[in-house]
Amino acid sequence: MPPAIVAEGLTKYYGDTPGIIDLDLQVERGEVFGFLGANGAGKTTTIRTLLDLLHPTAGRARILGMDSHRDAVAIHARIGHIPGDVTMYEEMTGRELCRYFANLRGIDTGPEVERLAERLDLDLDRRIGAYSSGNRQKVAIVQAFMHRPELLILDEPSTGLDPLMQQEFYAMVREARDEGRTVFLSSHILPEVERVADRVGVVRASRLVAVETVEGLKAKARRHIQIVFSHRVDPGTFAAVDGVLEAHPSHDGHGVDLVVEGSLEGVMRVASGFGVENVISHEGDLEDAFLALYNDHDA
Amino acid sequence: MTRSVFGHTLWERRRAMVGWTLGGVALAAFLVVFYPTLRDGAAEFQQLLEQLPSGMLDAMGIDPATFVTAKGYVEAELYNLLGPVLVIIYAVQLGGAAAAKEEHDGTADLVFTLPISRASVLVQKVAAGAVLLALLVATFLVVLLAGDPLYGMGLRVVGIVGINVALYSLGVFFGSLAFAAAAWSGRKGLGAGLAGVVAMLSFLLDGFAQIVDWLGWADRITPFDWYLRGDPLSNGAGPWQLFLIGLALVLVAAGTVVFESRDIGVARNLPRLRFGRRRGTASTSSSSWMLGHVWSWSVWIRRRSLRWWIVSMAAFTSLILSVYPSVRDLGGDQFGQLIEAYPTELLAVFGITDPASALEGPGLVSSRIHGSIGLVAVLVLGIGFGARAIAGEERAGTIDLVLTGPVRRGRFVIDKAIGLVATVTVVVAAGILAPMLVGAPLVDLGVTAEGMIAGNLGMILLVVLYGSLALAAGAWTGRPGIATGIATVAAVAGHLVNGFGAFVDWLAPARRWSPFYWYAGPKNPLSQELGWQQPLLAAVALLLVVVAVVGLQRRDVGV
Repeated sequence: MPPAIVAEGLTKYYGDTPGIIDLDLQVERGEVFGFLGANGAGKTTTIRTLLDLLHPTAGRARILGMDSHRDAVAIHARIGHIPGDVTMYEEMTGRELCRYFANLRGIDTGPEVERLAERLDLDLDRRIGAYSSGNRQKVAIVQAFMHRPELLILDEPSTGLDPLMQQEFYAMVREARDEGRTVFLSSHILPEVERVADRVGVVRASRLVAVETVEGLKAKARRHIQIVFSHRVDPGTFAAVDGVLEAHPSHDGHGVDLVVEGSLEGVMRVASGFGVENVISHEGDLEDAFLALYNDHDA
Repeated sequence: MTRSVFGHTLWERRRAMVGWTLGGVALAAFLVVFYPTLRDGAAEFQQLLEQLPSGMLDAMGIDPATFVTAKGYVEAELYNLLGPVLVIIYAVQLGGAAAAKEEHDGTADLVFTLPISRASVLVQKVAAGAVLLALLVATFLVVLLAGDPLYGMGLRVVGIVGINVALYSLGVFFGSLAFAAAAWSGRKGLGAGLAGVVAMLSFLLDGFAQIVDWLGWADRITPFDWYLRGDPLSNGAGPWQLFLIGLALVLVAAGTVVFESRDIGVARNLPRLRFGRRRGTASTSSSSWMLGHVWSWSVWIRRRSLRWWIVSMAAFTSLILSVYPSVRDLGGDQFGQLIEAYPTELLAVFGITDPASALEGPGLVSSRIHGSIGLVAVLVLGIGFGARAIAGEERAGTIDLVLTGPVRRGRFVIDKAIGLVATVTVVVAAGILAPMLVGAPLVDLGVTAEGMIAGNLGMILLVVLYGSLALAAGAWTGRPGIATGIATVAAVAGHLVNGFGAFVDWLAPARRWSPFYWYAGPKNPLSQELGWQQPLLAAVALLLVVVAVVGLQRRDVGV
């Protein structure tokens, strides 16, 4: 069975402006691949090129073993897609929209649509124009999953969902993987990708700078944490701990700000001796979280 | 209706379809009902026609044998101007939307990742547009078939069918042109606008080519010529109408091919028009000023299309002025006699309420610019602006951003109204008034200074009035489509009441209430006086803006 996605030197320019440059990437069957990058890094351009919405300036892509441009219709029959910027026919209800798209796919997805809507707590009988953006996102999820496609290509799919619904959505992604289906999802949120993906590709400034397993990523990613103690603790105590890159006193006195690479285990072991009141983990911005990866690449 | 892209496209347009169909029936029925009035005064007119030189009659598209017959009436009233205008406006909208509405609405990424080829999606959309257009033309067909025996018109069935097939083929041609341009650019507005400009120019070329020597080459190459060639109202449709359909198919095929190779969601644009200013430097400071107010923003956001509006209108005005000497020299006294004896009901639809003045410079220019196609074009601009000013921002969701800033709702509406005034003024001043000021002395047009001011100021005020009506309707309903519909119906009604009120006794009192009468007066806009009329137009427009303010303040935005 050919890989789910193969990109070879895939390049897309808008005039002089680069979208994605020279992307080489392989996504295997049955994995969840996270495509991570800041806003404007090239995630959506890549996805839209894979889907034949954009024509590559150079290079090519094969989806499920077929040419992304020449065999676009055959590919589209076997994939599900959530666009990055979800707008839909405002005059239709969610149910009508799903029925319309099912009709265009030439299949009956009625029961699956009901099941998915129930799972996401979505009322299918209201006009899409009257939905909140979260509910609109749920409709987008339902239409992408309803025909149980072999490959799901999802552009920032959890946008607008509340935390409970995000959990439900991640569960759906994992179930799809467990059934042997493939998921390619883009995100700019590291914890989200950590939670669901098997492997992660990181894109910055139109180039793929790293492909890592999630374990490898966790080992390399830097995070900022603040530990608040019941009394003053010398930051120097942590300076020598495994993985700690920086240690400073907090502004409010009773805490320590740390920059840690990889596991927090060593830090926690030391901290537990001092009466920890609170641990605050800052997600930090993506640039920072991936400094390690980028540095590897640049070197 | 959601079994296919075809069905879905029809379903999406169901409301507009009802509006267009009712409008088509109303217009055709209106004209048929007035036929007996014309017939009763016909004999004298026909005698006069027969004394005229045949060259002149050709130039006017008049066949003396048939002119005062039902055939001549129907042709002049419905199929020479009004029918084509309506059908083409509808067709270019449908064509532009078929190619680029999904991209405009942001739904393209969903549709074009379904297992249907791009070509299939587009062809289904074109087919749906073709059906909708056919429904509009079918209203004329049905009304004429029904009215013919009722009013003793004596038309041939093959002719009634033929002329409507011809009208349909004309619409299909321009719709396909809009489709091809929109498929190339990814912009439905650009497609519709480009096709509209081509339609306007080819209409004029066709009209003037027969009169003006140096335009003779253009005689047989305009779609308007092909549309009526072979006299479809007598003989049924023939090869030339088939030719138009054939061209349309070529355009649809070309548009589909171009679309296949396009990046979806990445729009192409026409080259930018810039007036005497280099890129960079100055534009930064001027755009920061333009971004300082809601009203100037509303103009700024349309800057590209406005440049095209101005250039098109200026070309149009210049063309009409340049042929004026030829038209004047051709006619002489006989022409004047003809116009005076012209069945006045015929002229009414064209807004010519004083036939005697129709041959003078002001009357002639009015009959093309200030009272006809030119006015229609600027009305389309003004009503479009008004309808989208509030309701359009509401649909796009941007109104929430603006109204949650430190902008009061009343101020927001007033700014939009000022933007409307500014937009219409710029287009009329630069596209019509400026070329007239240059051209009128050159061709000895004979428009007085007062007429020049009254005609152009009046045009601005009239368009602002109907634009304000669209603004108010948009503020009360939040729906741009409904706002456009209300203002369009009101404008057509005002126009017809003014025209027919000049000749039909029972309509005469109503005429004085028509804004078109305030604008054009008893003769024509360029012979109008300065007086109470212009302040009245402004006052009504202002009243409508107040209505809009109240409407937006009372309503839940976005519901």
